[in-house]
Parts: sequence; C-alpha cells; structure tokens
Amino acid sequence: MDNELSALSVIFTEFYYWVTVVLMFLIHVGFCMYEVGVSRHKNHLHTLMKNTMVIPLVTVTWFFFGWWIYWAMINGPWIGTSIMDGNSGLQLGGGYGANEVANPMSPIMAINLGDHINGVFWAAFLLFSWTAASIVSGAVIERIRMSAFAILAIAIGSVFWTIDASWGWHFDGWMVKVLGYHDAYASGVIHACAGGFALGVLTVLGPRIGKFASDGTPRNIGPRNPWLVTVGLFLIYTGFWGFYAACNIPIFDLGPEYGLDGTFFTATNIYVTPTTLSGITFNFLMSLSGGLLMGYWVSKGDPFWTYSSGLAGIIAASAGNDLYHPLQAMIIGMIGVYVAYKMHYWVERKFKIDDAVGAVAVHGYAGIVGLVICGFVLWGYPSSGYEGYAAINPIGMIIGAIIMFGLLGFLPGWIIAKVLNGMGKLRIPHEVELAGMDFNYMEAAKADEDAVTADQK
Amino acid sequence: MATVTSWVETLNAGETVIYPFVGTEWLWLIIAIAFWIVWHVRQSASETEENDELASKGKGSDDYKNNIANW
Repeated sequence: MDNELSALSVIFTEFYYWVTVVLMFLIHVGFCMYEVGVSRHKNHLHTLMKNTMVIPLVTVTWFFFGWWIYWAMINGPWIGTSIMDGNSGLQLGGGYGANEVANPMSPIMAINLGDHINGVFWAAFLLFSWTAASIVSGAVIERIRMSAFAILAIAIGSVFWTIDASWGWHFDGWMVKVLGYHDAYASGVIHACAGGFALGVLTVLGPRIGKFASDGTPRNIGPRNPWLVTVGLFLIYTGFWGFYAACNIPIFDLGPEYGLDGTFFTATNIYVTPTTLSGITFNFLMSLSGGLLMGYWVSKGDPFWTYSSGLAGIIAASAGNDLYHPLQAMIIGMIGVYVAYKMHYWVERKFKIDDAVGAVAVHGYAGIVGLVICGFVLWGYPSSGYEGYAAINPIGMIIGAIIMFGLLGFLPGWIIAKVLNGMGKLRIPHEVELAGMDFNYMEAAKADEDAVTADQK
Repeated sequence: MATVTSWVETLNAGETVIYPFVGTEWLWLIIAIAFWIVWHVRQSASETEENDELASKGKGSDDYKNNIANW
C-alpha cells in the first residue's frame, strides 16, 4: 500500500469481506431458530446447544487444520499440476499454496501489518464451514448424541467440505482444470456435499421413534413453532446475500492476470473469471422467487416446504449464477425444487430416512440438480481465464456432482456414523429419546417454579 | 516481552508482526489442541453420565408435560 489508491483498494476488499462475515452470521442464527422451531418442546434446549456449539468447534478446528487443508489439497494431491509455480506470477507470499500462510503457526495467521486479507478470507470460508455443519445438524435432531455430532460437525465443517473446496472451488483446483467443474456459489461444494453427508449419517442413525407406522407409512412430526421456522428461514435468506458477496472477489484487474491489452477492473468469482455484484443480485432474487413459486405449487401451499423451497431454488441455480440470465436462474430454481421435493418423499418412503428438516432434499438433491443443469447450460464456457483448463461440460459436472454428494459427502458421513454407532456413541438411549433430552432441565425449572410459588403464598 | 516498544522504530524497520511472544506459536497451538481434545473426552463422559441417569428414571413420552413451567 504505497499510495492512496492501492491502500483504498486493499482496505475496501478487507472491509468488504468483513461485512460478508457479519451478514453470514445470520445464517447460523437462522439455522438455530429453524431447528428449535422444528423440534419438540422436550428437546428444544439440546437442539439449540447442538447447533450453537458448531460455532466454537468448527472455528478452532478451522484454525488448526481446516484452512491449511484448503490450500494443501488443490492438486488432489497427485492429480493435477498447480499453476502457482512461481513462473506464473501467482505464487503468493512465498508459497501460499504450499501453506506457509495457512499454517496455524504462521505470523500471517494473526494481526499482521503487512496483510489485510488473510483473516477476513479465512473467516468468510469459516462461515461456509459453519453452514455445512448446520445443514447436517438439522437433519439429525432429537436422537443424536451431542458428542457424536461434535465429531461429525468437525468432519464435514473442517475436513470434507474443505477438501472439495480445494478441488473444485479454487482457481487452481484440479477439478476445475481437469473436469471443467464450475460451481460459482457452491451448489455442490457446500450444499450437495453437506446434504450427502447428512444422508450418510441418517442412513446409520435411523428415524425418530414414531416417525414411521408399523406398516412403514411416514408420519409428520412438527414443526412445533412455525413462527420460529419462518423467522429462521428469512434470516437464512438474509445471510445468503452475504454468502453470495463473499464468494466474489470484489475488485480485480484481469488485465495483467490474463495478459490483456491494458487493464480490466471487475468483480470476479472464486475462479477469477468476471461477473458483477449487480448481475448476481438479479439471479439471486429470481432463483429465490422461482423456488418459492414452485415450492408453493408442488406442496400445495405448505409453509414449511414453501420457505425451504426458496432456499432450494437459490441453491439449484447457484452453480452458474455468475453467468445465467435471470430467467434461466428462475427456471433452474423451479426445476431444482420440484426434483428435491419429489425425491425427499420418495427416499423417505422407500428407505425410511427421517430427515427432520428436509436438509438432504433442500441442500443435497437441489445441489446435484444445480450442478448437472449447469453443465448443460454453460457447456463450452471456459472454466478459467488461465491457459490449459477444460471448458465447462456436462460430463465433468456430473462427475463433479458424484464427487461432491457421494465421495466427499455420503461416504465419509456413513463411515464415521458407522464407527460411532459401533462404539455405541451415535444415538441417545431409547429411554432418553422417549423422555426428551431436556427432561432434567425442565424438571429442575419446574421445581424452582414450585418452590418460588410456595414462598409467595 | 513486548514485541513492540516503539511504534516509530517498528514501522521504520518495516516490522509487521506485532503480537506478543513471537516465536512461541507452537506452544500456544499445543495448549489449544490439548484443551480441544480434552473437551471432547470430558463432554462425552458427561453426556453418557447424564443419559444413564435420565434413562434410569424410566419416564414416558408425555411425562415432560408435567414439568412445563409457566413463569
């Protein structure tokens, strides 16, 4: 920062990411309200604490090793070849890709007068990590042990989504180079991955007591408090604005980067290809609206599904929302919601999966649909401005969807849940589930009330 | 030991690292990771104890309704 203009640019970028982090905090507030609203009275406090503890658990592990993984796994390892080789001019800080910066003991992982970006960038990614863990949190309410969820939250929040982000959500990621994978606002890298992880856990965890009749017919449990659900989902929508902004680089000169004649200042996506904050605002709102319209229609006006469908609409269009026309974003959002809704009930009936908040559908299935459609609609677009990258294509995107939902989502979720279940550490005892996890709290509160009332007489 | 004793000298020297005890990051990291692991172990044990105690009460699915406080 040796002149006012460069200082302004750096400080603007620092402040920009800082604001996105604050906005994204609302996603977590929303998830907490949503989950509590869906859970029954006897489980409210445990449900709340389970999701609240995502914040410290994922944050400290993201500092210990999550951020390091993101920068360490770009080439697979041993799958692609990094373009950050020192000759391209992209090697940052003497070896960013080699983790000199993301190492938790690095001087740049702290207040450092020579760096204004690492902390806010770390935090923006961290908030994505909370979201990944929160997606799983909602699906497993009212029967999972807190200690098991803590391990699962760290696994998805600080390990597995991080690997997929390194592979497919980095300008140097091997999936972008080799497959032509494109996922600008994380249909796959967060939503399909976390949805797949949730499904893997649910497969082992099993349904809540009473969810299915003896003949296998599913029953609806809750939501107990539709107002908390409503406000929670509105807050998630609000935080999603911050998420979209956080996925962009706000100001970047592509001229020297791409070898253009002269300068070209623009916002870019995570792959350093151009888009605009204005354009993605069109697409965010149109895909939200497409999702709400289809959700209201297909669920016959069910509020729970209509609100969730707004979210699913955005998620389905997110992979290509840096380039889509707004009407394309709307229609893709509608298709994603239709498939997610139908898939939810088919899987529920067929495999007896009790997904308490529809997380697998809203995030997982809508995310997969978004990736596949993106492969067709953006077929032939360059996945990067740098040389040697595959173009966006349907096969690459379908393989990408399998990697996100299956390889880095469902499979690790299922394996970790199996291990925890084998140790008897996955699910709460039957008697506790019947009584309710908050029984002791409620009993103590009632005793306090009775004692105070008796004194007042 | 303070890393910075004079802002003028620090900034003139181009020093950018200003937190205390520079060079001992590994020690803080070991302490933090040790606490993190102990937290998981203690939390799991505490949860098991609480669950066993509650399970032994043999409460039914509607018994919590007697404990809903009205204040």
